[in-house]
Amino acid sequence: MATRTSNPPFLNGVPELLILRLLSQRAMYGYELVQTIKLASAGELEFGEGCVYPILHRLEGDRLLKASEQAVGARTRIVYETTARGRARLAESISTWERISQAINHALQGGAHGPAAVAR
Amino acid sequence: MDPRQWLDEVRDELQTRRLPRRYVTRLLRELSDHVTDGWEKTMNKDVRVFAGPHDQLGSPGQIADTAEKEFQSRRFAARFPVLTFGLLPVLAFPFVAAATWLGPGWVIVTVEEFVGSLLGLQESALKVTEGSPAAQWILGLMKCYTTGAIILAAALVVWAWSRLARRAGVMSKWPIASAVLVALLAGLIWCDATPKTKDKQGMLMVGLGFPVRSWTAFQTVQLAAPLALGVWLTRQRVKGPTAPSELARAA
Repeated sequence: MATRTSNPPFLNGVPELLILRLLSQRAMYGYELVQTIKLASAGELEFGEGCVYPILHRLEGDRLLKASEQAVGARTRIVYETTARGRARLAESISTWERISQAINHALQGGAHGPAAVAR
Repeated sequence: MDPRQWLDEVRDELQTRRLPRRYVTRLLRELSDHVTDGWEKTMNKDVRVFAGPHDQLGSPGQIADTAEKEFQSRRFAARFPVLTFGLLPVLAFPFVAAATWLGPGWVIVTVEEFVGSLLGLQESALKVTEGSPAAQWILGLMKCYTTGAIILAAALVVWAWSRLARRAGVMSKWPIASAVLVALLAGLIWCDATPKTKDKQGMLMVGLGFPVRSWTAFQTVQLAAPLALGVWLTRQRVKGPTAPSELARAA
């Protein structure tokens, strides 16, 4: 049986960021959201699709998302959308992500001052 | 894997982790919808072939692990461990101790008075002559009773907070910290008693402090018992029941 690979633990918090971002654009149900994440990340983010639901439930519990039952086609599905609080958290998370990614890029490029000298 | 069998395995894994039934039902409903969507889309050839629930959605153990972690992170205890395990047991202990000490004491005195009135006794049977062997016995019994009530209260608090730690999924250091605090508090409680005599009222004094009085064997027991219980409960938790996914991995 094939084993799915997952991204390393340093991507903790990234699913939350992506979920909030995508749901701030439009309301989606779970399957639709997972497919949108795959398309948006060009298939780079690999994860067990079922693990998205516990994260959605936690975000709903934190009142960052709102869930409602909606008829989609012939079925009734649970559809998620961001709340005002969720959008505020998204703005905060994007700002944090940008600062961290800038800092990491800076470090990977060797920093502005070259290698640090060790004081003796 | 057959989707129904996969969903049954997910349900088993979630039940092992003692998640609320409502939460489990909702999660299973959404997972079931997801599997149906996957098959439907594959039939319509909109997306790549649905690889089956295990490969596409993850293993039942993986989903249950994520569900447990996410659910626990929402709990008050997981968000504020210092407050929950550092402050709340210390605040709760005096109330529980008062209940375990005063409750049975009130019952004993009431029963003694009731039986005395039934038997037509003019004086309480607990009244003794000062310095008599009976007085020594009652003195010892009163001290043992107080120590027992304190140990019971401390044990109840340690057990309750250990259970809370297990449900919130916090690290073992937190229930141990609360057990240490409660044990210290219990150990610092001293008591002294004067039996009721014909001339004067009986008195049972309980105080908190060190080294107001010399350390007694009773205090050692009050300190050691809840501490031992806390360590034992935490060790039991570490050993814990094994989830089906862990058994499968071990096999």
